Amino acid sequence: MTKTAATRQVLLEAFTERLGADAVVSDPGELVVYECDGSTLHDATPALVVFPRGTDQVADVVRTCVAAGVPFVARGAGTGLSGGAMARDAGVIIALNRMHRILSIDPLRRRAEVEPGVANLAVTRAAAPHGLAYAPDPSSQAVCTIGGNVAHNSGGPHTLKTGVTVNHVLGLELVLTDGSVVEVGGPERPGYDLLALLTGSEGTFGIVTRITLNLVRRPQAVATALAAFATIDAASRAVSGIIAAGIIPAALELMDDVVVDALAAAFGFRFPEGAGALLLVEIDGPEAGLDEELDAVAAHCTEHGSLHIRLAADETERAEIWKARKQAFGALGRIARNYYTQDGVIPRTRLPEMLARIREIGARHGLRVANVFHAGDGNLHPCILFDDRDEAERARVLEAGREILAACLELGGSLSGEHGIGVEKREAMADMFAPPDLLLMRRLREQLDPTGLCNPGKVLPLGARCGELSATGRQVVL
Amino acid sequence: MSLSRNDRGWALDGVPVGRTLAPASAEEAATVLAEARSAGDTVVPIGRGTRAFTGAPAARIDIGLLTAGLDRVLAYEPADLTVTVETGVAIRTLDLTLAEHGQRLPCPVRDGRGTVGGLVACAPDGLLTLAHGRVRDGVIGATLACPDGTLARGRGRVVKNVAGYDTPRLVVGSLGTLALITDVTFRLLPRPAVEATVVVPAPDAAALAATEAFMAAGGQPVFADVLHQDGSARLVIGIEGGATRVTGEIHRLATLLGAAGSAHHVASPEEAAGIRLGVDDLLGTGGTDRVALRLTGPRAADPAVKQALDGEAATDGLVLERALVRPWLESATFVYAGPGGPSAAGTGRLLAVARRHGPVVLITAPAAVLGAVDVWGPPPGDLVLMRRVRTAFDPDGVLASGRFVGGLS
Repeated sequence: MTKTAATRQVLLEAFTERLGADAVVSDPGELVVYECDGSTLHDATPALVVFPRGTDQVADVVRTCVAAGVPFVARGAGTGLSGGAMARDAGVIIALNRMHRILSIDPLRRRAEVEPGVANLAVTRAAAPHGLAYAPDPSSQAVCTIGGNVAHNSGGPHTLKTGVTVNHVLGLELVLTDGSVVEVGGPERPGYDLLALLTGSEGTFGIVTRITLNLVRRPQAVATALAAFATIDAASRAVSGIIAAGIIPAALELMDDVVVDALAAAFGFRFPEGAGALLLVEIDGPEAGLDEELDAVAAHCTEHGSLHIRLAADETERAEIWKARKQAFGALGRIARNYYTQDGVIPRTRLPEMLARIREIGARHGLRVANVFHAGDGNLHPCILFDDRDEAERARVLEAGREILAACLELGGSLSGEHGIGVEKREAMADMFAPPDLLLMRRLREQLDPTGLCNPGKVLPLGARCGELSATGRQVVL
Repeated sequence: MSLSRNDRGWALDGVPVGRTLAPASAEEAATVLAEARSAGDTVVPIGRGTRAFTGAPAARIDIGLLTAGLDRVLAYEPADLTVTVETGVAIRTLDLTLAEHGQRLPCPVRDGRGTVGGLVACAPDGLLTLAHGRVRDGVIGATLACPDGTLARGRGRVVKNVAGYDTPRLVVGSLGTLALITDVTFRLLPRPAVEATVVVPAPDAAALAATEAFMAAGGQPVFADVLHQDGSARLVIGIEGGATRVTGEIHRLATLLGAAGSAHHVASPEEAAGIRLGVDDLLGTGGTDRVALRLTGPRAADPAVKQALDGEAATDGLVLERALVRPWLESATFVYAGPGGPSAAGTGRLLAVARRHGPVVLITAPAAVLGAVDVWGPPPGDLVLMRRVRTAFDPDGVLASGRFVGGLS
């Protein structure tokens, strides 16, 4: 038996003894499931997967991994899109799915205390009887976990007005890489804002085992409109007009002609003749004045040439309008074998320019690109359609994706608005940040995880581009 | 912090400042820090020394860093609702610039005192926190001059961004103990067409319950605070937005207050301006001849706590000058004053009483008191992580040593 195989055997025995046989996955056939997350472009087989049931067990697993010099990574529902929950170097996956309790809902203080494996939507469901909700609502909210949301600082279509995960986390319990457990206090307690540092750190500083969340009150009234435009340029000018007028919608979602055609072809949606783009606008707040605001939204759409505006008269019609947005990705799945969703951000005013560049990049590589995205905050999700059986096409997809991100940076934007860096964009970090920027991040990483074993190989670029001279990478390959 | 000058030079909270430097650029600021590090000098960022903020006296101050030379607006894109400014820019100047385009910071400072750097480094609670979040929620990017002589940028200029660790938010409220913040990017908000303030004089539990009912039914006030001034208390509720919305919301709130038997009125423009200034002034409260402390947590708004504090202050010959109780933010700021000013022993007792009810920070007190009492209170459980963060930024303890939580040095 090789040394690495021996280490794996020691870990397997230790985990089985302490967590129980039903809490450890070691069968190669079953491990395949944990090779990748929601993005299938990257994969790596973990050595083992363990399912702890509480903080003590997480701490125990972490200590055991560190003692053996084996890397470990937390995993929730596996809906991430940047390869962040992938176990590189045959590490151990700490799956938090069995820690899925909502520990408490405090309607008076409007907060919830939950375990990391609880699904995002489950929190809102539990809060609903109190007239409360958990605000961030990623598209995968029915399955994606709060732990994963914290790791990625997840957003969603409704975060334009209410903010992303970091704006709603009030406290955390964190297992450090030495196995100790720390309560990280809210922004209210004196001291550094560690919640801001930990939220979005992609599981590289430790493992979050409990989260206190802020709950928001339901708005008194909601108004939803779907405007059809001939071109995406016209629609994005309407977006700029609405934002510049000082209106902050609850959601502002844009879909281009590829999506419009796909929705019609796949699900029989019917849109006005000549519709080449759809803009979904939702505003909410106190009832008084909401109609006025809706009129202003409609006026901006009309001014920029909308062909038709459909207003939701009730909840059923609102659900109908949202159906187009929510089924967009499903529709793309019907017209293409695969699609690769990019996630980039640009300043809102550069939207028309950026969309033109995406079209040009797609055309140059002979690829169809669909756009369905959060227009209000400039967060783009270009979907490159392809067939993964075609190796050459696959390579062109990745290259087009890189070019789109480079264009985002050129226009003053960011590599990621909500999907994270993971392994996918790790090397591109050196295109967005200068060496001193990365050096500071590297030092934070080394201070908070001196072992270098907590989700290694994510977020920060490796090798010469990492901006660091003393890399800690003492990872053991099993 | 209280900055004073006498014939022996500058002093900060009674600690003499060796010399002051005013770098003309971010690069120069980074160089100053690197040179201080090599020379073994300690540095305290002072900004322009106008904003009063919390903090224990520094152990030693060789160099006080002024930011008057960092006074440019680097980028302002009104249509993107973002602005990037150097940290020596006065809040007042920035506010005027933003007002030209009908915009404002999400964390505005009413009287315009102090600098952008002071606002970000001290992160006081703001007037509009209830509706628009804390200072950290408005910060989307920053450049940091670090003691290793580098300028490290974090995040960027777009409103949604998860690339890399959030170093800009991490330094918000760090009181100059991690880096000198040389520029900051904020997301902006439109200025409302109408601002109104509803006042409930002498509020009782029923008035607070009616306000809660207003919010539970979807009312969205921008603030809802109890302001104690001149021996009386007022519940003040801010409503902003378009004219129709404000009128409708005031009507709805007034109906609920009326049903609760709470007398109320809509403040005149003068009274409203006074209230908004008063709230802000209290949040950034200064002065060295009084004691101001801030209590947070679920008990902060409990009238019994205020009563206990008033009683304890009386034993030191002090009376409540002003207080701002924020039931929906779980915080309260109390300012006590008296003819002889607070004593060290009395302030220590006052802090001890307050700390039975939650975390308490001593915001301001005479220098002699500051040096003798525990400004920050017992170190929080996550101090171990704060130490490591501090080491990542400033391993040699060049910056503001001893001023922050747990005496981080």
